[in-house]
Amino acid sequence: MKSSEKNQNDDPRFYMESEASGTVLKVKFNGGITETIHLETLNLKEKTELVLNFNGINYINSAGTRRWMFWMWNIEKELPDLKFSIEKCPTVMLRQIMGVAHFVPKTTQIKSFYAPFYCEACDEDISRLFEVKPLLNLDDQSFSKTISSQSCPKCQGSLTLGLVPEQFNKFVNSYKPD
Amino acid sequence: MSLNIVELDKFLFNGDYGLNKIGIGDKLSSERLLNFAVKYRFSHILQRSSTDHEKQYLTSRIMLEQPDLFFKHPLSSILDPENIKASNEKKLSLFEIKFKTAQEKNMGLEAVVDKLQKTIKDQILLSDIKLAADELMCNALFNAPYIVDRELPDKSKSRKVKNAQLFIGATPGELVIGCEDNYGSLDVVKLLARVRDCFSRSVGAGISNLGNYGAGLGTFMIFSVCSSMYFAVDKNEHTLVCCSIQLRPRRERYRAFSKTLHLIVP
Repeated sequence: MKSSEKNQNDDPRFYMESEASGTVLKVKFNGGITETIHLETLNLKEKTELVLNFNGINYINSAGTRRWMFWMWNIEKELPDLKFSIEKCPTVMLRQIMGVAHFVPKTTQIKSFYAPFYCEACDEDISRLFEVKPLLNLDDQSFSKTISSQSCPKCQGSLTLGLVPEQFNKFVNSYKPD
Repeated sequence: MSLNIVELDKFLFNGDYGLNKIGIGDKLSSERLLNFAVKYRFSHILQRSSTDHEKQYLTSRIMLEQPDLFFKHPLSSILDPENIKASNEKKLSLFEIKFKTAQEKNMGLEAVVDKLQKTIKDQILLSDIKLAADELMCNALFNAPYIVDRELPDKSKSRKVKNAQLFIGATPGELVIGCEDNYGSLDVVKLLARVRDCFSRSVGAGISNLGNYGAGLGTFMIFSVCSSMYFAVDKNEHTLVCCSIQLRPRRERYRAFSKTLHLIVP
């Protein structure tokens, strides 16, 4: 059985849309994660999996990061068996996951993320959505090739990754099987 | 005043701290860079690998030799240190706002985004600029008076909230965001130690140990998106914190090992 609801916050530009399907709760976040948000309004009772869709998040500051992490820790403490996964992770959140340890629980599965690229020639920014599962099967060389073979839709020139390469490689490698 | 320059690649600590010295290294990680400021107290840490090394050196000289000039004209001291004067300061300025409440901070941030989104199309860059402005304003608004409160001999006395100012200036290749408060209470070395720990340990551990305040997370986040940071404290008078973000060439924004740091500490 499916049920859905919309959680409004103090800041009307931030809201969460949740959809429960059996024991799985999917939550889509929209807006900026700042000191004004309240995350505790989600009902996680009897849930076994929490799917976080970050597609609508466009900003996060340090106060929002603290709120987010305290919320995550509380959930982990209260529901230690809950599984976490992330869908459509935008760059602002990807950078938090890469740079802030324990931003999400260690066992969180990232299913898909947007990697930022730019074309120096056209002065354009282009985001590309990657599914993580096919990347996990690649060796390092094929992985680098997949990432670096992105081309500009305008001039067909190659795009450059708009992230610190060392951090990004570390991030993807952390999701590769041992 | 003769300048004291130290090659950081060959640096061996012999008890002589780096206060009022310029340390020059190459491809230093953020953690190592911060360590030179925290552990060995270097006032300026430059990197040969940064594209604007000469300009960074000139700014260091100004901050060492004429700190008052830096406080008076921060934009030209950072963006155009060969031409520091009021008229250039005005020319480089894009935006400024005074604030003293959280509501004014949020309105100020909206005004920053409104102003800049007309010329900056890159949403990630815009978000980075907003983040830097947000964190600088938060430090001035919440942390500076908090430190003063904590140090007040008479706890029953209520502190007087003072105005702070956010300002932004730019050249075609670089943008500077700065914030000045009238407390002069920032302990820069202590703050940078926390930021360094965010890089070396983990931010998560920092937050859990220190509660809501003081983990250095806000400054860590600024440090992660900017290419240079400038801290200037005139004790009990004012604190000025600026950061610069490279606009051109874009690849400079994604280099992890060319950040620089400049301090004027009491």
